[in-house]
Amino acid sequence: MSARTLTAWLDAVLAGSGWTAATMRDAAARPDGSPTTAALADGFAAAARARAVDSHPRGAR
Amino acid sequence: MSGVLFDAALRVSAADTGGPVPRLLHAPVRHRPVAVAVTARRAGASVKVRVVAADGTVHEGVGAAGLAAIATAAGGPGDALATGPTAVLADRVSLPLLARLAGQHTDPARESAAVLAGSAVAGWWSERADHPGSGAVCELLPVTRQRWVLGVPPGEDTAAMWRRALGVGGGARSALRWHRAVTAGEVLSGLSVTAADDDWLLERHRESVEAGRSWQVPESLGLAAQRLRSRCDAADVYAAALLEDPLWRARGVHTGHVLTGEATVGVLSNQGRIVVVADRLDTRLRVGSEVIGWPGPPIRERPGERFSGVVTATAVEGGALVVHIGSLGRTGYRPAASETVTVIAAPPSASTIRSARMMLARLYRRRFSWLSQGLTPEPVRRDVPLDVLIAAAEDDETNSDGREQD
Repeated sequence: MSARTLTAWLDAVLAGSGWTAATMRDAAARPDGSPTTAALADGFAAAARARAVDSHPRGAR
Repeated sequence: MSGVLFDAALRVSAADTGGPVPRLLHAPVRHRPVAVAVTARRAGASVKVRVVAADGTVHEGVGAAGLAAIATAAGGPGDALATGPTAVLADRVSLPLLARLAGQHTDPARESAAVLAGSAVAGWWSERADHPGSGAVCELLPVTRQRWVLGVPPGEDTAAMWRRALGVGGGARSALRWHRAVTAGEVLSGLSVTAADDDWLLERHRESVEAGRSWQVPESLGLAAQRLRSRCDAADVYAAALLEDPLWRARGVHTGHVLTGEATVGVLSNQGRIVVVADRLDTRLRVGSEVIGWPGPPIRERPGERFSGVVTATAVEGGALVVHIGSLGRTGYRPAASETVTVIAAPPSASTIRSARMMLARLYRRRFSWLSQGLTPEPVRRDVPLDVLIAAAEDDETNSDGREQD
């Protein structure tokens, strides 16, 4: 399992949107009003919020 | 599709940090007071069962002895049926094997108390496993994937990767540690209905065993109906419970389950109506949908103040979705002008579900109810109201596809 596998999957998911795994962060940073960029922006925002709120599960009880 | 893109961003974040990223801030399953880790494997013509108790003690046996091991690991036949331990499962093959084994050892005349208790508990696990959010069974991998993501494509996050990510290690008790990790924290409160159903069915099994009957047969029509009702309610209850979680609501904006926009009030507020204007057009809310809403964006914690109403109209105006919500209460919170609101479908009411179940039970107990008789009611013909006739005549202009006929 490698970063290459994730990149290939992201490229497949983003196919046709005009964005790729390499450019998806730019898409999220500057949403153009499309459902694609909105979903990516909200996903990254949720991840940031989740990391801030949720303690790391490692070693839970 | 947008839900997948939302998840893709979470997966990229997980890859960046090298650890799991939450999809939910709440635990998506309830944990019961006692949990046991169970595995079942074929052993010749029978099944070998291995159970790890909460204290790490391993109990195992083949066939009926395997069922007895379940009861022993849960503290004995009485405790097993009284508490109903959670079955912690690290694979998908164990439960079908346990269910088959349990069904072979239900005869009170032939089996010991421990075997009967283990059989009844395994039968309960098998039934409740079909109910999402149930605390009776916890399949570790699917539940973990519901709560967090790793920085890999969907489905490629193996159990070994999760064990490393959660730091649960190996050994006999690792499944129980994993279970504690995935159920840690606040549980989605909407799952209380499912938990009550877990207890209800366990109680039926316990009653059967204590009365010297098989927990499988005979089953009354009323019990069968209650079980079916529980099954029907579980999916709706779970879907609504997930929307209690702010992260899931943020995702729900992109699947159409959550509407967020700007509230317009004014003269309409005197009529118990508001209008919400949203940028996204892909809401699943339709005219007639009962909804609840509150101020703030979906990802913020849900405040105590909220409104409830019914969608009365939807339209697209100037590229924005305009949703009219009526039947708002005369008192309580109402959105102010230009306030951002979040609106979702009203969750199933626990009290309504309870009263519907009580009504169902009453009808099945009543001697002359058509439900308890198992008879289809005779059709009764009466005059058709004029407005129904007119509505039917209007429908004649469209075919079954909703298109106008030639």
